[in-house]
Amino acid sequence: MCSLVLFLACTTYVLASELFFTPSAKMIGLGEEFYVDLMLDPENTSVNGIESTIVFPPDKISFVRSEEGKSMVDLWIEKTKEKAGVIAFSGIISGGFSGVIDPFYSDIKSPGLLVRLVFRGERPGDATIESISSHVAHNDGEGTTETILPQSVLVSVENKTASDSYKNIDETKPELVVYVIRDQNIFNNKYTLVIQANDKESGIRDIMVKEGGRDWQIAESPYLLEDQDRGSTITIRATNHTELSATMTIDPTARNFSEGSNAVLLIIFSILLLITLRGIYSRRRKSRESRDI
Amino acid sequence: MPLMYSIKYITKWFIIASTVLLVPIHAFAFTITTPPEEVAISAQVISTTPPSPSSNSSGGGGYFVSSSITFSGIAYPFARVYIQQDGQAAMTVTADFFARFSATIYNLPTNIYKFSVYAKDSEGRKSASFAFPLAITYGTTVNINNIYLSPTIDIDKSHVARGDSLIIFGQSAPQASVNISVNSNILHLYSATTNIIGQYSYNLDTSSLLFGPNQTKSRAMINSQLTSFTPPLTFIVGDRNKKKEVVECTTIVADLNCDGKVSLIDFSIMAYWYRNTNPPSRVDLNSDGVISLADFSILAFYWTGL
Repeated sequence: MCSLVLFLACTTYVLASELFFTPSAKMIGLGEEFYVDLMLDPENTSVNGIESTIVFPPDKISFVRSEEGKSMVDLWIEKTKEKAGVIAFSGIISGGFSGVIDPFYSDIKSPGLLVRLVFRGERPGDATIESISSHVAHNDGEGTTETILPQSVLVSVENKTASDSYKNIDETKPELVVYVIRDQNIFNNKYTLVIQANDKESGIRDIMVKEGGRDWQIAESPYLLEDQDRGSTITIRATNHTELSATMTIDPTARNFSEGSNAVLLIIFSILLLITLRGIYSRRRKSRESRDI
Repeated sequence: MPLMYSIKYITKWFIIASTVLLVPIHAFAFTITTPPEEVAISAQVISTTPPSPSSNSSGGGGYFVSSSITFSGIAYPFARVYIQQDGQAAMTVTADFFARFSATIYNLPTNIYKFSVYAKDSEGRKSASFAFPLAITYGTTVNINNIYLSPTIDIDKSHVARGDSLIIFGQSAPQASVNISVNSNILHLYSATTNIIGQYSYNLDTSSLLFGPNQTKSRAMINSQLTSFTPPLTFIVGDRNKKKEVVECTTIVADLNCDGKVSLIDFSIMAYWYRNTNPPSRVDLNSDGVISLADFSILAFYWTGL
């Protein structure tokens, strides 16, 4: 009976798709940075969504960053975040993913990268990185989701200094697409920024937004604009993991300037007025002098 | 004279100041990017040149020896065929009278690219996207042949009185057989044949359909090969007829902002409601009261891009 229950429980996992880890190294030195690629093998099905939770022992290794530049995921619902040894992310693959085609072996479709997780060795010992909860969504138009079996990889942190730390050499700038929208289904019809930032190599580290004279703010799309009058210049900056940035500005559309802009406007008009008055004064003085002569 | 001079002087400076400070710049959509120069899709992939060790790497940043990729297949007569790479427009070509198209993209650095190909017919209707990731290696030439794009599809009414006819129409390759499916209580299958310019039309008798939302889609048989299905269209069977507008929210699934597309903006609206309670019914695509991966999956399935 127990076996039957176990069997039924196991059958709730669907073996259509598979996740697995590919580490850059299995023996790590102290302070050494290494990566673990989380790969998706859709096994001849087409999937268009993924969510996953990964755990690791934070006393042995620390999470440095995630690199999504070469990921099959093109839109992130939740970008990779880590807290106390738990990493979570979710995203979609528009058009679906059934495997990477290698033109030289077109009959075979290869697994695709979901995310590269970069860690650092902190204390000697074994560290298991494990996907504890993962689901894929099938590209069937009905939102069918399936659970994927947990997977893990073991790395050993050795009591030696770092010899060959991983570094991503990325010389390309991020790409940035931004829209200002208003829609009744989002932020109560207020002006909102929709931002898509991509980086083909290392991935996006952060996106910052600045409105007029206000401070820079870390932004996630969709981003509610503070200046709903649209009187401020909006600057958006996306930076990748090698500090290369793409910046764009959106000029104000409103004629009613914000408070900061009003002050600048007042100063400029005052200067212009002074110049004008001085010109009038000198002109009158000259004409008076010429009349006296 | 001094007064006239003063007025001119003041006017001149105020015009300058106004020009500098008050010019409104309307800017709603921007793209800052190095435009991608590649795209692809396929039923058959042939590599003609084996990869060779790089003789022209830029040092430190990977290989930049050029590669090229050629896409060819069948769309509709004189259709515009769009090739996207990693979600960005890469190339547009026009199909010939026989619906054939071919496009080559050069100078691709080594990488994995997500290509997609779709077409627009003479009325601007879109086919389904044909999308796939492809590993491109330096110094190679890749040919992707036999891309049979799905037909386009449209309907003449968004609401149809039960028993009246609904015209389902669109475009595919010339003289192609088109299978039309209508999903009601059961799946109804119909067939039509395209004319010399690829147009097809079917008068659907709605007597046997259920009241409420029904969906229709089509696929074509070209050179003994089936295309993928069109994106489905929804129509309502009821007690009145209503002509379908050019852009109508009710017919395009996942078009949350009703702009006739399923794109980044719709994704962002859905992301706003992710795991929040009481999402608008329009956003909750599977009607389970919460926005989850399942809703995003439906949106990704109906994705049209910009």
